[in-house]
Order: sequence, then C-alpha cells, then structure tokens
Amino acid sequence: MNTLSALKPNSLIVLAAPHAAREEASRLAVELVLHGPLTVLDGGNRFQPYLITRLLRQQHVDIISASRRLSIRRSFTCFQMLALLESTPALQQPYLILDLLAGFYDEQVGDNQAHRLLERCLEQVLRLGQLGPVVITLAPAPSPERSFLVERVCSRADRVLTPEQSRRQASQPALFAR
Amino acid sequence: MNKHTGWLMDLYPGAQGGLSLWLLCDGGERLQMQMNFPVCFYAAGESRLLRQAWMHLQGRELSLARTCRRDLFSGERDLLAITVPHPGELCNIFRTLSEQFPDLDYYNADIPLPLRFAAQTGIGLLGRCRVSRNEEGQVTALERLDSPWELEPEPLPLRVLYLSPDCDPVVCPPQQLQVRFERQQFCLNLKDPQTLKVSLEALLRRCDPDLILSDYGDTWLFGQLREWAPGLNPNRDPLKEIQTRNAASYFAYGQVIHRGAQVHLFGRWHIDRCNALLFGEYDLQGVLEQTRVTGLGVQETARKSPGAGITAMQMLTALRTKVLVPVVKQQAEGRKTLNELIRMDRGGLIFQPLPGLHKHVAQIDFASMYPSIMVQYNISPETNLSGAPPGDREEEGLVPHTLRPLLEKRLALKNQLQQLDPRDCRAGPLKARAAALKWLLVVCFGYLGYKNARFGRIESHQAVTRISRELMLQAKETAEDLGFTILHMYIDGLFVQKDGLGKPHDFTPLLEAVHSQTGIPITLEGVYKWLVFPSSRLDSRLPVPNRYFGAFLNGDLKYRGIALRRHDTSLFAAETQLGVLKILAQADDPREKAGEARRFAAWQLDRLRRGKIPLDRLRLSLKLSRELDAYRSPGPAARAGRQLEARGQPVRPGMRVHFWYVYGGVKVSDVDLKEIDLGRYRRLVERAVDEVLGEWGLAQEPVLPGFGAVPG
Repeated sequence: MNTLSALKPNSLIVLAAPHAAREEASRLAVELVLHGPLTVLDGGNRFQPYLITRLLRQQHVDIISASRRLSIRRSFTCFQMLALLESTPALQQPYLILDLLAGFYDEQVGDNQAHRLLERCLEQVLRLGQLGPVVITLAPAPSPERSFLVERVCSRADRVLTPEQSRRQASQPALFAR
Repeated sequence: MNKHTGWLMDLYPGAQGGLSLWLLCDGGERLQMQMNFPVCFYAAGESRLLRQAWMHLQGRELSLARTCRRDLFSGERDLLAITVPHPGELCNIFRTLSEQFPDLDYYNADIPLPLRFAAQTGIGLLGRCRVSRNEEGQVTALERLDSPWELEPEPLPLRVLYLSPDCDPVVCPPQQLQVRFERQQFCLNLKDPQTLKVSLEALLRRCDPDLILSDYGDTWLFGQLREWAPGLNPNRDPLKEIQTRNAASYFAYGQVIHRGAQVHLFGRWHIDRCNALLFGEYDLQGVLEQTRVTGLGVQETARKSPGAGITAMQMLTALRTKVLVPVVKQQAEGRKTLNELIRMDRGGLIFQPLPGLHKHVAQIDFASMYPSIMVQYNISPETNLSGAPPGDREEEGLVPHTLRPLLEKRLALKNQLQQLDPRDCRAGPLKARAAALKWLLVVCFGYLGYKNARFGRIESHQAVTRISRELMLQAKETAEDLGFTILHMYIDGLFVQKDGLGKPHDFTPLLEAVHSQTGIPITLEGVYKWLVFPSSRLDSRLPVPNRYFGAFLNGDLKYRGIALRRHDTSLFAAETQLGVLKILAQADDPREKAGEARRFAAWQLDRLRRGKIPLDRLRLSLKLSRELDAYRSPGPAARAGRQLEARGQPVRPGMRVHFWYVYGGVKVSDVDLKEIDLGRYRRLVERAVDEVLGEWGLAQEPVLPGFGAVPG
C-alpha cells in the first residue's frame, strides 16, 4: 500500500486491512511527521508509540522535535470518537484516524445508533479534511451485520486502499534442521 | 399506624405501581410494604430539541420541569427534568424518548432503584430502619437506624435454603436434587416432575427461605423447573414472576468473560454459586458486605463484578451531591505529544527480581496503595492531576469522596483481623468482609481508565500510576539508605533483605521510615525464612516478575505465578506441587528437603501410573477465548467446546470448559480411567514439580525411574 503517494490536500484515504493496518499506519505516521505536524486520532488503541519512536530513530532525525510534531488523542467508544472529532480543530495538516470503527463494532451499541453516530463522525471528518488530507484506517467488521459501517466509510472516501497480496519471497533454506 | 423495625431486604417496582419494599423485622416477620416513589431523569442539549422533547412528553402522566445541575465534566447544564410517578415505567419512557431524540444527552436515566432509594432516604439495602405504615400497607415514614460504614453491623437472621444437583449438569444429567435447610438434609428425585413440583412448593411454604443458594440454579435448575413444574412460583411476592436475564460474553479485565443466564427472584434472593463471579473469594458474608456499602441488590452484587459495585458507589455519591450521572460517557482524551504519551502512559513500577534462593527476606506492601493515592492526592476526573498533594482549600473530588470511607473501613477490618486469633469464630466472616471490600478497592483504580466508567478519565488513571512509581522509588531509596538490598519490586510491594535481620520487629524502622517518607501506610506482609525467584524457562539468565514461592518463619507458604495458582492446572498436579512445597517448607534451607520432595513426587506419579487418582482430580478447566469457529488450529479447550456443542450445549466465548486428556485427544464426559492419557498427565505433573525443584538443578534427574526426565 503506497498511501503517501495518494495523499493530496482535501483528500480522504481509507486503509482497510486486518488489525486496522496497524503497521502500515505507524510507518505512514513516521513519514508524515518527518514532513510536518500530524494529528493522530486513535479509536481502537492502535497507536504504537514505541514502534514509531524506533522508526523515527532509524531516520536519523532530531527525535525530540519530530515527536513534538506528532499529537495524539484517543477514544475508546463510538460516543467518545464523536466527541473527539467534534473537539478537534481543522488545521492545515494531515490527520490520521486509526481504527475509526472500533467503538462502532461494540455489540452494546445498536445498529441504528451506530449508523447515526457514524454519520455525525463522517461530517466531522469532512470538516477536518477541508484544510488537510485525512487518512482513516479500518479493521474488518467482526460480523456481517456490521459491515455496512465499513461500506459507509468507504463510500465517502476518495480512495480506498487494501493490502496487497503478500508475495512469497525467495529465502535461503536452513542448513541444519533445528 | 404500625411501626416496624428491621432490615431492608429487597425493593423493586411494585406490580401495581410505586415501590415494593420487604422488611426483615426484628420479630422474624417478613413484611411487604408499598411506597410512592416518583423517579426523575434529565435531558440536555439544544434548546430546539429540548422544546420538541417537552412537547413529545406532554399529555402523559409525567411531571416536566426546567432545571439546572452540574455535569462533572462540562459544568452547569440547563436540563429538562422528567419525573415519572411509577419507577417501573422509567425504562420504557427513557427508551422511547432517546429513540425519538437521539441527539440529546441523557442523565440519571439508568440508575438502579436501590441507589435512588438510598440517596433519597439514606437507607440502603440491608440497612436497619424503622418504618411506619398505614392500614393499606403504604409506607408513611422511614427512619435510618445504622450506617453502611459500621464495623460490626448486626447479623441478619437469614433463612437459607441450599439446592444443588448431584452432579455437574454439563457432564451428565442429574438424577437428584440435594436439599439442605438448617439441620435437615435430603434429596429430591428428579425423575418424577409432579412429585418434584409438590415437594418444592411444600418446601418453600414450610421453610420460607430468604435466600435460595444453589449450584447451577441460573444455568440449569430454574430453566428445568420451568419445564418440569410450569406453575411453580419461587418468589415470595406472589404477584411477580421470575426475572431471567440472558447469558452474555464480554471483554473485561483483559480477558473474555462469560456470564451465564441469570434468575432473579422478588421478595427473596437467589444466588447461583457457580454463576456468581467472586462468590468463592468472599462467600455470602462478603456479598452482604458489598451490598451494604455499594447499595446494589444482593442478587446483583453476587453476580456482577466489583467494578459494578464501584460504579454504584460513585453514582450514589453523585446523587447525594447533586452531580449528574451521564448515561454514556462522552469525554475523549486530551491532546498529547508523542513524548508526553510515552512519559505518562506507563503502568506500575517493576524492578526485576534477582533469580535464585534467598534467605531471611521481608515482603513489605503499601496498604491499598492505589486507592490511598487517589484519596490522598485527590485524584478524580474533575480535580487537579498534577501529582502534588492537594491544598486545604481544594474541594474533595467525587472519586476520593466515594473511596475514603471504604478505604477506612477496609483498613479497620484488616486491623481487627490481625488482632484476632485465626481460630476465633469471628475471623472467617471478618476475613470474607475484608476481602469483599478489598476487591472493590482493587478495581477502583482500573475503573478510572475504563472506557465506560461514568466518572473515569484516562488522565486520572495515568496520574495514579505516575505517583505510584515515584512513591516506589522513594521507598526503594529509603530502604537502600538503611542498608537493605532490594530483591524485587512489583507495583506496590518490595522484597528486601539485610544481613543479620530475620525477625518481624527488625523491619519496623524500615516501615516507619517509608511511611514517613511517602505518607502512605506500608505493612509487613511477612518474613520468609527462604524465598525463591525462579528464572525464565526459556532462558535461565532471565528473571520473571511476580513469580516466586517461599516459606514464612512460621512455615506458611506463599506462591505466585506457579502452576498452583493457575486455573488450567489439574487438581492432581496442583496437589503434587503443593505437597512438594510443604515438604520444602519444613526446613530452614529447602535444599535439605529436596530429596524427600522428589520422593513424594515419585510416589504421586506411581499412584498415577497405578490408576489410583480419582478422575475428578485429573479434570482440567480452560477458558474459551473466542467463538469456536474462530480457532484456526483448535487446542484442547476448543476441541472440548466442540464436543459440548455437538451434544447440544450452548458454548460461548469466556466459558470455562472442563475436560480430560484421553488417548487421541480430549473428552468432556463419560470418561473411563483406562482411557486417560497417563503420559500427558505425567508430563504436566513433572513440569509442575520441576517448577519448584528445578531451581536447584534436581529436575535433570528423573523424578521417577522409568518415567524419564521432563522433555525440553
């Protein structure tokens, strides 16, 4: 998935992959933070601060100032996700929304309520996207009944990226059996 | 006008409106009374929507008003107050209103009725009170006679009826129902439903129990009774029907938990010991104590997690202090930079242990460290979270205000317990009550960071761990200044050692110094004559935090993180490991007894080989962490789950499945001793023995000649 090349101002990119494209999102966050400020909004506890720090170190940049450019806010329910989006100012910078739908997959939240809250969240996402690009990562719905949520988010996206089929890489066979 | 004094046993929405109360009177009567009890909830939001909601509700038998109250997070809010005359109708009115106006914020709409009652009258469930009632049985006045914080509440003269089947219904169909009431004990045959119905009706009429304490009552007995004896009503209130709640699987405390279906009664209680989360930890006395302090009903308290108890206590504080209780928490985390997140979002402090055998080690623990920090540093969502002790003028936050009396009561009970002889008949109930309060305190910290906690805030959660790490470092430095070596630190406890010190009073100056430095009381858990921190199985150079076993000076054992403590260990393996530890505990140096311990292990394995171990000692119990279809390569638990499913048993994530290892796999029932995979059990036992004897290199020798050593 080459997300960076797809990023343009006022664009909404969706990464749909198992584990809400956790690894890819971390690499993307590092790439973005090297270029300027970045706001991460995490809906499913997917943010990996230690991995991002390690990846930043590998770039041989001033890690303190780089990490100051990255802001993070987390939510743990769909109600909190809406509150999080509503209280985030629209700035001229990219936004990375991790596992947007995690709270919406909660069985305690009814379909109608999930749908209503998601619509309100998407309005906020579009507001944030007016000045800077927005990347949303999504995990697959845990049950077919909730897949309408993924479809709804994807329908609003300018581009939807899914993981490439992993290609088997040539590898050296072990010399000795373990 | 009649006046009655007694304990408030139960309350619920009456079948004819109002509130139904049950009083266990001093004279032994169980009295039902009615009371008018209107309840109120609130809606907030855009004026336009509130006006529409007002118009939507007009014309119904409701009282509507405009008011203003404090939301803990967003301050004063203008509200539409909706007062419902009959408490039983609140749920429906709220549901229809919230479906019609989903964009409004709702408050105080899902508060359990006993909490509303306690907030309004000051009388909680199991509280003693004086009630005046008129000729129609309507309550006209109520007077509180005690407090939930009394250290020695008057014991309730409860009538308890015990019902249990003769076997686990999952394993085989029960044939008899064992009945126990006071000194009588007998069995009812399950083959003839009509006789069973008549017998049970007679039993309930004759004994009139306050509590039916059952095994598998929720998940089997009452469901079967509905089939066998459709007309049987086990409620004391004849106008009510049994209330059933569906089974559920949910994720909490880092694991999937399954709660079976529930059966609640009215006017009397039903508790299924096998479906009550922590009943095994603190028994009925603990449940009653939690009911007293949380205000939740007995049947709820027994089945719910202590977290629900803490939530109830916070709700009660909020109701009393006129703070709004939101139906859903909507506050998200504040903005942090990557650096700030890494610095703040850490857990408790762990100082890795020094692996190996140590002698004359003292374990000192901060008493209820996290709750103490929350109270002492005024940690609450609405207060200052800088980590500095609060000034005199700072108002106490909702969370510390709730916890303070709980913490004080727990410490007082613990002190009482320490002064009692363990053989004293009061020690058992006191221990159970202290354990029940301890569980509430254990979860109160986690609830600060729990996503659905009404008064939780992740920053408060982080503030507590930040302060705890600082206090642990202060304790470590204080101990080192006094010449102690720190062997291990884990969250709120330290293992310390100093040459020449081996008696409990030797450590008093250390305790005093740490207390004076940190301001949090610290207690001596005990002095070990020897203590072992095992190293990692994968790499013997690596230590493992919070895994240890040792013997105190009086020979008592303490162990953490070994097979004995794990739920997936068979009773036989656990008993063998405990036996080995008990032998080692006889000596001041466990190495002296290693040979004897090895012989004991060999004898146990010999019994296994000769088929002398009863099948129930070999049964294993594992939890299903997901749906059966979600297992890619099914392990023993999933295979056992599939067998149960094939027999028509409902299998859900979080359920614990019981099974035996047999040749060719696992089996959940109808097991014959000849089928048991002895080799597998031998390996499990040898592994458990190796866990404690391996520290001295003895596991390299075969535990029993002919069986061989544990394969790597």
